[in-house]
Amino acid sequence: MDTQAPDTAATEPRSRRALFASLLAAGAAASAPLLAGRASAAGDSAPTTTAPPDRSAADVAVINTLIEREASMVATYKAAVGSVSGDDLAALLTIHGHHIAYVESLSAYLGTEAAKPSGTRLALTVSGGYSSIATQMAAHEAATAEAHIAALGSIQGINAAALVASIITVVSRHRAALLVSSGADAAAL
Amino acid sequence: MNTPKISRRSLITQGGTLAAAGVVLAACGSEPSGLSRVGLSPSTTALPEVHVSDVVLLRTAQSVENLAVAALSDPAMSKGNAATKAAIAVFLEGHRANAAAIAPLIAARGGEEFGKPNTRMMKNYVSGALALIAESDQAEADVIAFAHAIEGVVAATYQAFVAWTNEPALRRAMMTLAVKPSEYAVVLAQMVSPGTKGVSPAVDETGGPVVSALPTKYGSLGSFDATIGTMTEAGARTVVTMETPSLNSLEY
Repeated sequence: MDTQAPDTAATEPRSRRALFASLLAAGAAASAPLLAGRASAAGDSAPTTTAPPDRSAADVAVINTLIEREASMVATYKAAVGSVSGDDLAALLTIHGHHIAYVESLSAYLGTEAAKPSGTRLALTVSGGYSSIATQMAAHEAATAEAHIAALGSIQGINAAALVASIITVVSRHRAALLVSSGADAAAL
Repeated sequence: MNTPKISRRSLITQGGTLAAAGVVLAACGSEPSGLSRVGLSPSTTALPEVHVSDVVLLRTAQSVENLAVAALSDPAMSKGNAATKAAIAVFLEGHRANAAAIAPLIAARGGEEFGKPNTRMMKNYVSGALALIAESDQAEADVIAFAHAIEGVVAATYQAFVAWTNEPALRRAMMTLAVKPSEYAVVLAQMVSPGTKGVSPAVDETGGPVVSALPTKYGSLGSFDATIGTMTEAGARTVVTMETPSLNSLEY
């Protein structure tokens, strides 16, 4: 007696298509708890924090103001160095060179978005020798440090903030170097 | 008569059902526990998870200010001349003011201020350096050299922390506090190399670098060295190399 059922699609209770569909359904069912677990883990995680960006387009304007300030310092030192000589000249040229480097590094950071600075010279009376010039430039250095520190309060990008911070520590030294090298003591700082 | 049907189709059907069931069971199972263990298996306690938050950075900055106060007020540092003593008195006042200025910044963010010197820096650098200065036959110069390194590392700490700090307002506050230590370093450098000759980086007759008021164009985050202590028979003196706080020296 032939008990073999007729091998026809009409009598077959499950088709290949149905089989694959059931396998997919089983796979989905199996993965559902895993996905649900992940969703749950995400929901239970610590409060999310937003890391500061490395760069921010919002920083362009404030950095351009710093470039303008540094270009003004360059122009002012250029006027100052003509009135001194020897070690005094070497000291002012060193600081002058630093400010040129700051214009270049800040401009390089912005790239094509860096504005061309006007480089307007700040107030300076060049008569009176090194002490007089150093005292005036020390005041300009203090204002420059203040400008950089104030900018840090709005700069969003970490890279720009780190660059400006590295400038602040040396600009602060400029001020002290100008004052102390012309006779001031620690208490006068 | 109902007899079991064995066909390719039924095998595939049953096999597929078994595979699906296997997937479901595997998803419900747990991860294997690993290799079996023989002998004692002592329980371990996981280290607490810590994060470098703005509060941690502020506490550490305060600890570095306290470190400067502890170092500069140590009896060994009173071996300087009158000008050095007067300058150090100004520096101490400045560091105390900076430490006090950090306290409300920590409190405003729900943290606790750190009233002691930085633990690791005190152990690794300062304690040993102060002992060397106390025994030194060139203590007057050593006081200046060590204070110079201390001021450098305090200013550099703030500069280094800017890149780790989330709040722009805090970065601004930190760099406001960096100004005084930067200036103090210049005062000390001028004690070694006075006048405009000591402003720019230079080298001495032997080609060694001279302490200068402006060693670099940008603030350095490198090490800050102080050559101190009594010269050995071999003609060498100890170089204490200090660095800004790293992850293992933050005050969490």
